[in-house]
Amino acid sequence: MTGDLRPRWRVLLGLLLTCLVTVPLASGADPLLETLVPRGGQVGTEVDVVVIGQRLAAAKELLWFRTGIEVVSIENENDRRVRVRLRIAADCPLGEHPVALRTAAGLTEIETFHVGALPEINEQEPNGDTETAQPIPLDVTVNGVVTAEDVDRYTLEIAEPMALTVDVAGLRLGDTPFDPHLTVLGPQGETLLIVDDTPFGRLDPVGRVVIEKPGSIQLVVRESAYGGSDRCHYRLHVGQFPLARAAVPASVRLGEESAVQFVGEGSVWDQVVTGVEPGRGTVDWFVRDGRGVATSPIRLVVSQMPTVVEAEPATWQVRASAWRLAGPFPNPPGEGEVGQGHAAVHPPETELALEATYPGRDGEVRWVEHPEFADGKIHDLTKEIQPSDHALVYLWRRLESPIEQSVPIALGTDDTVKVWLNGTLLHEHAAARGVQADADHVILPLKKGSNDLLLKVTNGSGGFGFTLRGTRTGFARRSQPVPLPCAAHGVIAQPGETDTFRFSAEKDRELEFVVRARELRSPLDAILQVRSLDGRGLVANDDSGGPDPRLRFKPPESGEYVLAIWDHLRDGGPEHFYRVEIDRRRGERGLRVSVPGRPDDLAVAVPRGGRMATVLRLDGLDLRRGIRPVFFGLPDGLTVTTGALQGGTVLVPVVFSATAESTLAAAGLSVRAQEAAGDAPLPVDFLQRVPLVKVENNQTFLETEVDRLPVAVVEASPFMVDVVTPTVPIIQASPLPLTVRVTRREGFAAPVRVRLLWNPPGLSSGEVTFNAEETEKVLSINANGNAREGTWSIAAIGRADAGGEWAVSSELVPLEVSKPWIRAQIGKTRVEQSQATELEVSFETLRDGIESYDARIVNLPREVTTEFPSVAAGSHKIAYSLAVGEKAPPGRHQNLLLLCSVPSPGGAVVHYVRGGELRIDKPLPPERRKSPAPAAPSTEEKPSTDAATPKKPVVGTLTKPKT
Amino acid sequence: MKIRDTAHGWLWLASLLLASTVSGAEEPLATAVRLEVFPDRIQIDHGGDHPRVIVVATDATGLTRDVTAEVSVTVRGEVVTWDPEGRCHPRQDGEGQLEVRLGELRVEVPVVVQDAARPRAASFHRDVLPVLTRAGCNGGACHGSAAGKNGFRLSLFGFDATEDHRRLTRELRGRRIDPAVPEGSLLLTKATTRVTHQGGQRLQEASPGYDTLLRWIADGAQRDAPERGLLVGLDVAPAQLVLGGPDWKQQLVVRARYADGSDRDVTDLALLSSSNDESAAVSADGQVTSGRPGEAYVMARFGTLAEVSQVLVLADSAAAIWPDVPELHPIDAFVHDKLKKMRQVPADVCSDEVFLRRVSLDVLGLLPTAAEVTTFLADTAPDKRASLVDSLLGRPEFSDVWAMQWAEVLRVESERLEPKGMYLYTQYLREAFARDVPIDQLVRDLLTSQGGNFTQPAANFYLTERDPKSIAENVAQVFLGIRIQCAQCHNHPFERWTMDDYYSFAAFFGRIGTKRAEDPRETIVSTRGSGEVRHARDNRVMPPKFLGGAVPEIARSADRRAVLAEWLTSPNNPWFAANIANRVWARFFGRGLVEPVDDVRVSNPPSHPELHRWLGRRLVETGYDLRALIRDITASRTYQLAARPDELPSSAYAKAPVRRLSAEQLLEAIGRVAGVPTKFRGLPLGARATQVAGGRSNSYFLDTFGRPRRTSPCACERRSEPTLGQALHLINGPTVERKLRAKSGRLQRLLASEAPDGVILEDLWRAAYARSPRVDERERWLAELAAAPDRASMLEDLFWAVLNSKEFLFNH
Repeated sequence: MTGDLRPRWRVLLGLLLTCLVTVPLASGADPLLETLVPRGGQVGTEVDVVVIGQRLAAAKELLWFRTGIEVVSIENENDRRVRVRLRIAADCPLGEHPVALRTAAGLTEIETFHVGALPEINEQEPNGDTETAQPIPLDVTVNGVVTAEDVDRYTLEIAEPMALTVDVAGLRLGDTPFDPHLTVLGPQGETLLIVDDTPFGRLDPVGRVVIEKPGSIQLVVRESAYGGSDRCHYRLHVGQFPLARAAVPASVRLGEESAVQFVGEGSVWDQVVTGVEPGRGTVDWFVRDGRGVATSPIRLVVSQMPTVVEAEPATWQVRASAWRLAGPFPNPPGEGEVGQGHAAVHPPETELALEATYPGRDGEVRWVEHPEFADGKIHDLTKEIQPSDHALVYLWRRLESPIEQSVPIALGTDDTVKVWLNGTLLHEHAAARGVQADADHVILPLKKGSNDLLLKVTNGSGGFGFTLRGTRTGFARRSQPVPLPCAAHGVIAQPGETDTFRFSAEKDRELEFVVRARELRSPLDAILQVRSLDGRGLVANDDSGGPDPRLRFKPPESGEYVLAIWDHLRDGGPEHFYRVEIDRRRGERGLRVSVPGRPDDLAVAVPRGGRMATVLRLDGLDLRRGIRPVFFGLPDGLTVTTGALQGGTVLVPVVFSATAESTLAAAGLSVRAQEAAGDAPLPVDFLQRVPLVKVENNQTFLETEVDRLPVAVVEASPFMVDVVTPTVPIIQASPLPLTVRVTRREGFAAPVRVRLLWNPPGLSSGEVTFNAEETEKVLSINANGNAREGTWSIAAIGRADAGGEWAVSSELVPLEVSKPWIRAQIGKTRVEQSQATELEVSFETLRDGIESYDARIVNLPREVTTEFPSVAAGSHKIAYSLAVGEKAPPGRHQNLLLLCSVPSPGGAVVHYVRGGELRIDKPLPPERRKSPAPAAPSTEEKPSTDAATPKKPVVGTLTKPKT
Repeated sequence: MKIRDTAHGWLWLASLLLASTVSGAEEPLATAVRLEVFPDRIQIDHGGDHPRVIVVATDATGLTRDVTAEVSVTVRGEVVTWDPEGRCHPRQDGEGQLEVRLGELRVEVPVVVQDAARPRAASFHRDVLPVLTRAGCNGGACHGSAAGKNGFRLSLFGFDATEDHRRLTRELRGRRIDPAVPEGSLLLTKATTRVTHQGGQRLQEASPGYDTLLRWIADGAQRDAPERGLLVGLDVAPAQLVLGGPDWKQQLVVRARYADGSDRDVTDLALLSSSNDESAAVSADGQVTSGRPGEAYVMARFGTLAEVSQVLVLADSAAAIWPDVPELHPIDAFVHDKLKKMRQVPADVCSDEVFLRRVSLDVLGLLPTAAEVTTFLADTAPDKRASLVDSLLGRPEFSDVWAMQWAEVLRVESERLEPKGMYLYTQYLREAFARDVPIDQLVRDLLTSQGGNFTQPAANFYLTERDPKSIAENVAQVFLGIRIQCAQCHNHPFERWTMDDYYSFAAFFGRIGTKRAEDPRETIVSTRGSGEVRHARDNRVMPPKFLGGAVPEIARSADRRAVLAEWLTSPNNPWFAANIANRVWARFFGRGLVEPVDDVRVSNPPSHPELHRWLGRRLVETGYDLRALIRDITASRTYQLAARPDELPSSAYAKAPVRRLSAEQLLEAIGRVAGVPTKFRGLPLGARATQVAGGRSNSYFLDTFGRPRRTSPCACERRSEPTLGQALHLINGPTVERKLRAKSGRLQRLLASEAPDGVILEDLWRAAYARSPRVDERERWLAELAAAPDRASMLEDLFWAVLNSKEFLFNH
């Protein structure tokens, strides 16, 4: 749940603070929406629903993101519960309806409400035993809950044999990682169906059961390991409605009528999908037939990519007849081990006649069919031919190809072999050997129609046999050619099946392949592989996109390649459908909210007379053309400021400001992107994925999507945050102190935590906390050496706990990131304690208009002193004389920090320069000093060409001063 | 109680001693009907060979006696001299015979002598290593341990002769051996403690072992060609002894057979031990001495081989004439055969009440209800016991019992499995037993399982253990009853399993791949195209090889596990069916024919080998039908015997074994008698103890009474021995008390219904004991209740006493 992210202790802390400080505040900032009970309702009805959450006392309205649901009344029960009456229109779209709730002071994140076509009833406890099972009618939706170790039983009278669909939505309601389990018992208590997880329903049981004997059947719902809690809501749908679980193609085009074939439980529905709501990346289609409307939709991709549907295998498949064998013919011993038969010509080589008889070694021979000679198996001919020494046989089979194509085969024989296709000798092996699979590889150029494949296998002595198989994806199956780019759709219909697509690619032009199978709830656990035409695997992937594979491939050569897709466990079936996007353009095109560090912050609550900000992400757009986001549907009194989009990022900060008089209201904003020069929005949608259920390490397990940004104007916040616009740029690899101010309403004393809304690329910043009396503080920003140059828009966000968390934003202020104005390099030197040395630093001015600046090393070791004169413009070196005290710490003092303050009209521009080394040694003990040593380092030891050489040589040390 | 037992024991021992002085070994054997000489052919191939020869006489009742000292022996051909202590000494080369006579009985034994004048050079393989082994030098606690001792390492029991030779002769620059002054070799001075030896004195100077080592060193400490010295067989004679009472003595002869066709007497080199010293002790030089009545196996270990001789010791009470006991089932014939041999008369067939209670507990893990008791007792059909078994086998509780038994050895527990996977795995096993899936099919399904462990619960099999070696160990132990764990680091000391066998068997599991499923709790098991297991010693890639079998040809793309599963469950596999059948047998008798059930080895032979084989064959014939086998077992007179108090071990099956109820049986039984079912966490009310998934039951009661934690595949994890904790928990623990006081319980309901005392007694007795109270019990308790000032309190005490009574706590 999204709500889980917000630490609950804040509530307590908030309550505590309000008690202590008694600030007159509207409660209900940072409201939390947990769920709506019941979890759904029927179209064309009015439903009473309880909204459950926290800090809901001042609930004002529900914000819907799809059409069809209207709030008739809303009534606060307490801080945790709000009663609402919903009117669900007769034409309300079926399925999931994202919803948020606005209180006087805040806006919740999004949860879901579920609209169905069937009449609804609620579970009545107790219903745990067969005796207390709750009777329910056919074609109904039951809203229930599984508490800990709870078992819910329902009885259903079936008057005549029928196929019954049962669909339990538990996890998919988006409340909690609930794992429901369903058992259907027959009239005699016999088990008719047990369903737990299905790829289609994820953790939810969805299935179909044929009831042959009329009578009372029982449906048993529980948690799969007898867990459960009062958050484990479910909607049990039971009836004769269709259950479709696969779709080919699993995509539709916007604004067009798309023909899609749906498959499920052996049934097929050909339907035309229409009325796709614009703005969504997928569409949920509820298959409809004479028996009703499906309770679970099939998700189809809304896409403008060219669509290819897997051709029926028959189009490509080579059909091979059974082998026929004629022999033995004589193979008299000759030179070598194999005999003369390999070279000898017998009638089958010259004229193929299946009815003919020939004079053989042991009498008359004719063609005998051997259906048991399966592909890929080794066939022992010593069983057929007795005696098997000095014999040869002919083997024939017919290959029917629907098209002209080249088909690779592999074979092995004992001993020699000749291979003819349609009378043409393609291959021979003339030496003795044992049968080994895939010893020889031959490509058969099949013509369209019938082809005759003839083998002659001769045996000298000993073993006698052969094996043969088609090598490319089973026998003689050819890949289907597809254009680039496209989305190919198909079904891995049989266990062991591999679907292949052939495409032409240019050398080094990287391609991206994305499979969408499990994402669309296909049972297929796909593996995707790119192969060369001769079947060598080049790259493969299993699970990069969750259970779905995705991979990138840079063709080593221009030419044809094959894309192969199969199931991880070599499984297959009519519902194992997939969509593979071939050469998909990189990234997902679209706009969405993406607040760095707070990925689940979607709702924007703007206090009256204040501001709140968010960050938009613009993917797949050509940002060089001055793209900016535009907003439609802003409530009265709300204005929006967007930051400048800079190269190097796709993020844009956006600040919403509300006037003190603006109406309290919530709205879903339509967000579009527009070119600076253009006057109409680009055809790019805002699409936001909203996490609903998270598991383990905060991984999103279930999400929904909305196409509008939830924004609300709420009551005034008890504090404001402002940023003082920096008057100097921040220099790469250097810091900048940013002045931040907090203004409080009288009496508001809670600590305010302030941090930046976002950090432009290469910048980092921390958080400062303002206690009650503090009004101005410095928030330090650090740029790394690669911080992106340019003027960025930044803003500060202040948060404080007061009956829920309040969050406000400053205005956007420009921050210039600049290359250094000066350059400096710190040298190295070494010295003994109590001695002096010089440290050389070279300086260079990179910018006009600088006359002189200060430069000082700020992290010299203690007892090391020097003077730092001002540095003049231009390039030169300065040798700082260092006096090293007796107790200066010995060691290598590396990474000295030189702080340069360059004057500018806006103030000092701070540069940090790091580097250099000061090595301090302890003097040697006196007796060691007696060892022969130069009285003083002679000048010829040093290449003294440099003007900056220390003028005073260091005396009395074994170590040489280093330049 | 305890003290009386001990006193009783002393008394018994004293009487035994008395008896032995009176009757003793001198008791004349009833007329001998058969005379046997071991070995039946004497071959001497060097002058230093003085083989033992023993003569055994068997009388009409099957008793065997060592008559070596009593027989008259004539040597023909003058090739050897006969030593009445039971040895032959070579005289000259040639062929001849020993003619052995005892009264009318006469046996001739051929004798061949070669190289009588020449002693054979000491062989490293044949002589030196056995001496070191016998002296204990290469034992696990001494230089045979993995790290050696004090810088000197030998392979455990000499399985790696090459390495041992190297270490003896080359390591430390050869200072362990001194060919120039052989007696000064460190090897000898240490062993005799002439030089300080932490391991103490292992050899006496001038003992045969010492001489062997000395000769070997003097001859240059050579390492002979191993193929000549390859040990191929071991015989212990006589293979079976039937001793008529305590303190009978019998010399054994142990002979080793070699690859070159030769054999020799190794009685003095082999390590001898008895599985049951109380019944038959064996001395270091191979003399067996009988003790208490019972059965023992004397194991001789030599080189890498082990062999046993069975010793039956009859009781004084042994019946001289075995009465005509009917056989109800072919099983009885096997059991009676042995009882005849032991001259033990089986007990009578038990009463209907006892049978109903026993079979309900064994098949369902539950006590019969009062209604079931009434119905069964009223039934007059002659085959009502078989019908009862049939009906019990059809009940779901039966599947629960067997799912639980399997879950224990398959280690279905929450440390290794995600809770949902664990739950589904248990459910899967339960359904397999409910649907009567043949056991071989179930095992194949487990071994070849793949897919997500939620959708294919059998795949959990490969999640309880991920290491190929450990999987192989578990498969061998659980499905074949063979423990190969030792062979991971060294060849098995007294079994055939070598390190090669071990790693080759593990290679079947080298290609198991796992990955996370979409549901992060789920794991998908699959077969990979690559993956090998390497030998720990030399890092060789080991090809998959069946245990004790062939190296199969496996296609590159084939699943190795499928090949293994075929072999493992094949009717030709000598272990599989017998192991499964033995586990079933153990469920009904409290011990297996091989005990422990998962430790099949030469040195742990079945108590009834023919029956053991027959049960395995029977399982194969019925298509691995568990229920059919249970019908067989329960139909036997052996299962239906009454309990009988006597000294005989129950392993002879002359009486019903008395077994404490298992943790689950007891908890369910208490719940049933008290009328208050136990609620288990994670399961709805009404679930039984057998349905608790996983080893952590969160039940103090189940833990206390020995429910296994499932941390190993060993059947030994389930404990049935009594503990103080158990006794205290029953006497004043909360389980019994809460159940008795519960408003909804039997006692409170009976009180509320104002039932008369007699009805209450009848109801309680039927629930707890599956019988009506005897007249004396009824009279006593009616009187007690009538006299009690507080009837309710008295009844509570009565219920408590019944729940603590032995008749209730035991299955008898």
